[in-house]
Amino acid sequence: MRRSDLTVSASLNWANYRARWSQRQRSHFDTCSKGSAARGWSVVADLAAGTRQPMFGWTRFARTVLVVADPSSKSTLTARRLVKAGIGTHMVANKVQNPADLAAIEAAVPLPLLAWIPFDLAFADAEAQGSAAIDTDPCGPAVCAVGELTTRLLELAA
Amino acid sequence: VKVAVIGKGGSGKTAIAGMLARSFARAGHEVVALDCDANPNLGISLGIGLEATERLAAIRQSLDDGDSEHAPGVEELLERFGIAAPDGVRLAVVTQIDQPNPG
Repeated sequence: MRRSDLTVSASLNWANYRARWSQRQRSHFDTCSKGSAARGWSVVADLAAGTRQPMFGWTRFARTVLVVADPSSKSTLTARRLVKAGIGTHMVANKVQNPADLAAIEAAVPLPLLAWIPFDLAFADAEAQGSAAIDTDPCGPAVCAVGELTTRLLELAA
Repeated sequence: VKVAVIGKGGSGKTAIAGMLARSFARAGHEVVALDCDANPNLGISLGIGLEATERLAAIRQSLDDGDSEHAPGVEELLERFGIAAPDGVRLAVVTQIDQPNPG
């Protein structure tokens, strides 16, 4: 066998390996998301950033697909791409510092706004320290806003 | 409640997903939090801390390396790839971890 043959066969094996892995990962995800739902458990899935996973069907299990957008144009552009692909049922505006931020996000992302989360330094500090804001600042504005988001989601699910 | 959280990197998906999972649990729901990122950080936002989050990723990776072909059920997956988080949330990493040289 020539060296070039070996190279070709190695790269084919690599492609098979990748395909097998991605299939198995997806099957673990499907097992967990569908299996949990079948048992009456709630499921919150945090998907990879960007458009790839959602466009490959990773949101199909969910009744509510929250698109999180902050006021940056890169963030709203990503949100718009998701909406254009028919993905996302509701939007959550995050890191809102003033009414203009919220208006800009709402104008840029054509999804119903379920909640908006204010920019909150204590929240950012928790992120920086690797802790959860719900523990470090349970009465802060951002944590309270997520509490309201929880209520909205429970109403939607009812 | 079945929720997927998506958006651009840095928009706050993981922080919001973590808090939602905790809030649902506090409202009396049995909650499974699924970290679908190949660079998994949801543990930190759920409040299990940096070390436990790292340990969970390492468990995922070592089990992936020696995985068998049989199809496990949800309980087995939560057992193998999962960890208990505050308020009774169960966290599982459901994607293979990014590594430069797999196999």
